[in-house]
Amino acid sequence: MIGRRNKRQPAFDDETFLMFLTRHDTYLYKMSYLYLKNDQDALENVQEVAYRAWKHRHTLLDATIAKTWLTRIAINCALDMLKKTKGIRVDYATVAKEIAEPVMFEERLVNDLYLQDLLEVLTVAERTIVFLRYYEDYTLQNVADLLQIPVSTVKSTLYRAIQKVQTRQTGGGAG
Amino acid sequence: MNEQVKQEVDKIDIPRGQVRSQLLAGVERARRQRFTGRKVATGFVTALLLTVGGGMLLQETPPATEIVRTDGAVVVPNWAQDKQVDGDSTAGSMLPGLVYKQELYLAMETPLTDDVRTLQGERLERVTATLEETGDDVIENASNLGPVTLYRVDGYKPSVRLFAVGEEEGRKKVWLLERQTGFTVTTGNDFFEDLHLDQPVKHFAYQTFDEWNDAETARPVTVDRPYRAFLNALYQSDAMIREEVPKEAADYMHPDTMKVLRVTQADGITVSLRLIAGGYVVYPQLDVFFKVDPVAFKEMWEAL
Repeated sequence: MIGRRNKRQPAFDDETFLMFLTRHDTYLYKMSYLYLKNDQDALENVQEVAYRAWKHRHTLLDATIAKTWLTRIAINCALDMLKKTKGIRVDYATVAKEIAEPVMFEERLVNDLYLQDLLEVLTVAERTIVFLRYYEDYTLQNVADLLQIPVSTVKSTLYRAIQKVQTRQTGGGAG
Repeated sequence: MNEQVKQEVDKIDIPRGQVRSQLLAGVERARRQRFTGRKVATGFVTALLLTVGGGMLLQETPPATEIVRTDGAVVVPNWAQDKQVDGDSTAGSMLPGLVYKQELYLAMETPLTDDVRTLQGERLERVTATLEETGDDVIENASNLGPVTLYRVDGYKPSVRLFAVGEEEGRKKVWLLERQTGFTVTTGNDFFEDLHLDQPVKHFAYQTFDEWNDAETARPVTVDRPYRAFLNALYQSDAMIREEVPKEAADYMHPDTMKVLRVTQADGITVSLRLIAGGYVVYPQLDVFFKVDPVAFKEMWEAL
């Protein structure tokens, strides 16, 4: 190996890592699109994610967390692009206050949920957490770990996101 | 809520071809940086050389970290000249190769057929130092393949290609290595002449963009006629750095802009040439663009 060797072996060899990336390309695009809301930026983000992932693939030592590792890179890339192109900074830790209603709010159904709601009614941070929790089925703790925020913040953000969508449905929201 | 979110997110229209292209372009960009921006690995090796006494050489030679145009020629820096330290020196950690006489050699993609193995020639020397070692002597040669013995490749200068013979998991292992650093090229001839592309060809194969990363997907093709004119044009082509070619050519990892011609030569070695729309040829591990005569290029492009 050219360069400093790792004490531990990377999770994948190059060929397997490339397969891993290509297997998740549409996932990366969906994530990117939810952040950036247009196809060109999402495509550009996919390239950047692949670039950073390949460059740092040796740091992935455990295959069982590979998708989470990739997700984190995708989020970081999208946030960088948001900051660069739109001047938007996202701080997950401060997006929501403690949840005031400790109920099973996740059991609620909204009557109609549209992609447009996710893109336009919710903030970037809310979209991210909704995506990870409800699309990727991460546990609350996993979302918290991934975004390095308290579980309580994850809960409160989800709660607020659902409220926002419901408010939109009753005609009182931004949607 | 879960199902609702899933249904809606799945409504995002996915341009699958473009997504795959962008993903591969990102991988290629990272790979290219490994191959050409030796800052990834060089930081460590150069630091090693400095540590063990190569400092004088490095200090006497201005560092050149990127492929640049200098005095009309394209210069791919010498390994030892490149003392950029990136701090991310493990990025190239999966590249099998070695440093020999202070130049970087990496394993070629060519299948090691019986023909190729018979090219193993005169023994050169044993390389036991690894890139992790430090010592009291100047280390000109260091390998990440484990201890290996270097041999000439019959028909090629040792400054172009080498065989390395060592062991992997207790079994004999052979690598065919090709030099990656220390070139000054003005025309295609300056680079390709030493690869002896003008020898007879056993067979040709081609790959589309989607297949470029897997040698087994190469399909036979008959391009004997256009190849000779194409090769002449390649030898006479102008070498250019990435910044000098149009953006569409520089960012060539797209289905419509790249085709791969794999040439298995009479001596058994297979080389890959990337044909880039717009009339350029790129040798896979060298980030130099060769601008080829448009007529010869077009004929070959359309034959693939």
